[in-house]
Amino acid sequence: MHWEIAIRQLCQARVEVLAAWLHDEKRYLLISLGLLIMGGAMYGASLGVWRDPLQAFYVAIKFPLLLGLTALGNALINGMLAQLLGASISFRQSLLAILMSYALLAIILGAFAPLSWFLVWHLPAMGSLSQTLGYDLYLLTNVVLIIFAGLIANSQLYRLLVYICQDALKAKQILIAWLIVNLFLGAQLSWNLRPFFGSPHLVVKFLRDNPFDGSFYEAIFYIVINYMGA
Amino acid sequence: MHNETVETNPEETLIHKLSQYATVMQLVDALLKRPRSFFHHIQTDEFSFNNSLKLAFISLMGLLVYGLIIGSFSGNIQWVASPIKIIVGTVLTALLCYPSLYILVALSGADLRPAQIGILLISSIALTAILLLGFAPVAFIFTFSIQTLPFMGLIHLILWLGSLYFSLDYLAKGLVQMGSKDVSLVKFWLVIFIITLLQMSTTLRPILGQEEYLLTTEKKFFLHHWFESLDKSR
Repeated sequence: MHWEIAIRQLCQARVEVLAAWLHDEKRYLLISLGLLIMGGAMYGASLGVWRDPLQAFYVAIKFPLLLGLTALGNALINGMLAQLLGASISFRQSLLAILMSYALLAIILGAFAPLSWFLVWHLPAMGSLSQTLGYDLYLLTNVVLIIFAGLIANSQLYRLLVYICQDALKAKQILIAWLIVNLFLGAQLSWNLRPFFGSPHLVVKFLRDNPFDGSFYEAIFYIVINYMGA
Repeated sequence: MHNETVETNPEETLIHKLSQYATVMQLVDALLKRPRSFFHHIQTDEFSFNNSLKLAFISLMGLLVYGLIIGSFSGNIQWVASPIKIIVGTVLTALLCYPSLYILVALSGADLRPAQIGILLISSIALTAILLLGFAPVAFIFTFSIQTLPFMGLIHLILWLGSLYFSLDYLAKGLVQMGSKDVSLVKFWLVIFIITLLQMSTTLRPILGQEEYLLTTEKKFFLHHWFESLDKSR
């Protein structure tokens, strides 16, 4: 299949077309993965470029890696949850459905990458007096962009699940279960793979020192404890 | 002899056939009077490469003439710099926004290929350029009446926004005719396009006024730049 047609089909999310994808898993797993890598790399590069061109290169690798590892790491539990909650799809099909949704997320983000680069061009540069303002603005804009893309990707996944289950309630339960599990692992993986934006105060590195030391949840816990003055 | 029943779609009667080798004036005429014919030709892949090139030519010419009028405000090097910056800025904005337009159009449900969206975008820019050309005498008269930079800038802003209103409306209508169901996504893109265009005018400054430099690497948000120019003129 032509890549461009695959992108259009993913975006249009005609459920009967996407449901047909699920019956040719091997082929569409590769296509979804390819789109995820392409879109994710483009967006990843735009994330890191404010800090440094080298950071852009690193994040172009890490962003698709984060999405791919999250999907693969949860493939088993997501498949189980789907079956448990009433969707008659195989493990491979549930992995493909999630990868399709991630691929769509990556494509949307990738399409906004040129505008994101344009924004970087206008933000206070690294090393300037107002670099913190630039960093905060860039962070905020990208968070908004990721929320926008995430909402669209998940709403398309929901429509596909409704078509598969023929039951809106079951589809909602599966989507929520998948979201919880994926966010749970995704947050930890993003902690391990940090930095993404690249703090202005730290040197550029592919991974932080001791990337597997500590967890996202521990960090949040200590922030809350410190805030409460305990 | 067999009977043939010919079903005629009422919409078809509104579609005027556009020649594969339409003249520039025929294209201008069709853009202004029969946009539905344009959309039909784009959707059915009947819009020739030759006509697309002519649309690009119309865009360049319109922007060039309007750029010259902008440049005439400050004169000197701006006679050359302003038209170039207007053309480069518009082309860059279109290129930056094109990928997001393609994805948002697909998300809105239309089944259009990148080339079809590209032609629609070029035709929309051509319409902007035609309208700017129409406004050119108005802008020219103001250029010789107004003395202060911010007011001249305001006049150009109004004329640009007026032209963009019609050309972006044309684009949105075209997308709806070609299958877009979720217009809010298209509108979202229109906002992005206008903001990018406004920011581009600040990035490529000075376009209207004159400074010691031809281009600057100083980063500035367009609203900040506008207020600063206003303060300077007081």
